[in-house]
Amino acid sequence: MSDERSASTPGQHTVSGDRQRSKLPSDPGPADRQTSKLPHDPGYWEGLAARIRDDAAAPLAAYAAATPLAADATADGRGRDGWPDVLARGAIWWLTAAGAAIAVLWLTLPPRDVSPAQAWIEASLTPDEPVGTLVSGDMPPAVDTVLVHFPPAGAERPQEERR
Amino acid sequence: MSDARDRTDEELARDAQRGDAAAFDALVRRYLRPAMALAWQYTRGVEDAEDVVQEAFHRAVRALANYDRTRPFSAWFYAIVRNVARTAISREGRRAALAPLTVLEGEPPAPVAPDPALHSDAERAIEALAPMQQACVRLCDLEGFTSAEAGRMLGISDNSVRTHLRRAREHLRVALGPQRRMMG
Repeated sequence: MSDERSASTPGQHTVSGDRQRSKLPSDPGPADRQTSKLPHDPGYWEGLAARIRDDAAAPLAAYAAATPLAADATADGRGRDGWPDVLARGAIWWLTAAGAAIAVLWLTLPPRDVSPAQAWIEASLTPDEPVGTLVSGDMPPAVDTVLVHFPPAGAERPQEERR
Repeated sequence: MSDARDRTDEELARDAQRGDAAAFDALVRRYLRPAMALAWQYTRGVEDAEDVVQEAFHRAVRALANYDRTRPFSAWFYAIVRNVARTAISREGRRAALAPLTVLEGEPPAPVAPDPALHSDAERAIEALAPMQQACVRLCDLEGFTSAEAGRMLGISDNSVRTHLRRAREHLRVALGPQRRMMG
C-alpha cells in the first residue's frame, strides 16, 4: 500500500496502490464524493491536521532530543537508524575486541609438541593411571608391556579355578 | 530534501520516531481522511469521529517508539483507531454501529429506532444491513475506498470485504428493487 501513493492534500485520500476502485461509473475518488459523510471543506481538514500536529509537537520534540543521531541526517533528509545503528556498531566493536584478545592469548602461549588430543588424554588421567604410561610414551607400547598392565581375562581365570 | 509523497509509510514512521515533525505531518495528511472515515463507522457523527481520530493520532505518536517498522504502518495505525473508537463508544454507552466489528456475518441487525437523519430510502436500506456489510458499503461505495483499503481499515482481508460487499449489494438490490421499478 504504502509504496504506491499518489499526491496528497488534506481531506483527500491518497492511497492509489490498489487498482480496485469501487465499481461506480466515473468514480471521482473519495475526496469529491457527494455520498461521503465526511466534510468537504478543505479548511476543515487543514484545521484538523494542524490540531493533530500541535498535539504531537511535544512528543516529537522528546523523540528528537532522545535520539543522538537525529542530527546525523543525510542530505535528502533521511536520517540514520538511531539506537539500533548504535547497538549494531557497538556489537561490531565488541566482537573485534574479543577476537583481538583471543589472538593475543593464542600467540603468547608457549608452543607445545603435544597434539591437542594427547594433551587432553594426559590431562584427564590420574598420575597413577597405568594407561598413562602407555599413551604418553614417545613410542607405541610393546605387547608385553600392555599384558603386564592388562592381562587377558582368559589367562587369569584358570589360576582362579586352581585356587 | 526528498518529497514526502515518494516515501513509504514505514520510512516516514522511522523518521517520526526520531522526532521528524515533517515526516509525522506527512503521515497525518496521508491518514487523516481514512481514519475519519473509519472512526465514523463507529461514532456515526463527524464531531465524535474527529475526537476519535485526534485521540488515535495522540496515542500513535506516543507509541511510535514501540512501532515495529518491519510491519505495515497502516495496520498498526488503523488498529489504534479501532481501539480508540471502541473505547469511545463503550464509554459513552452508545449503541455502536459496529459494536463490535466482530459481529458475525449474517446475524440479524439490532432493531434501529427511527432516525431523522435517515433522509433517504437508500440510507435506510444500508442501515438495515449487517454491521460489517454496512461498513464495507459505506467505505467502498460511499466514501470511495478500494476493497483492499477498506480491509486494512477494518482489519479484515480484501476478499472478506468483497464478500461483504457482494452480499450487501444483493440485499440492497432486493430492498430497493420496488422503488427502482416505480421510478423506472
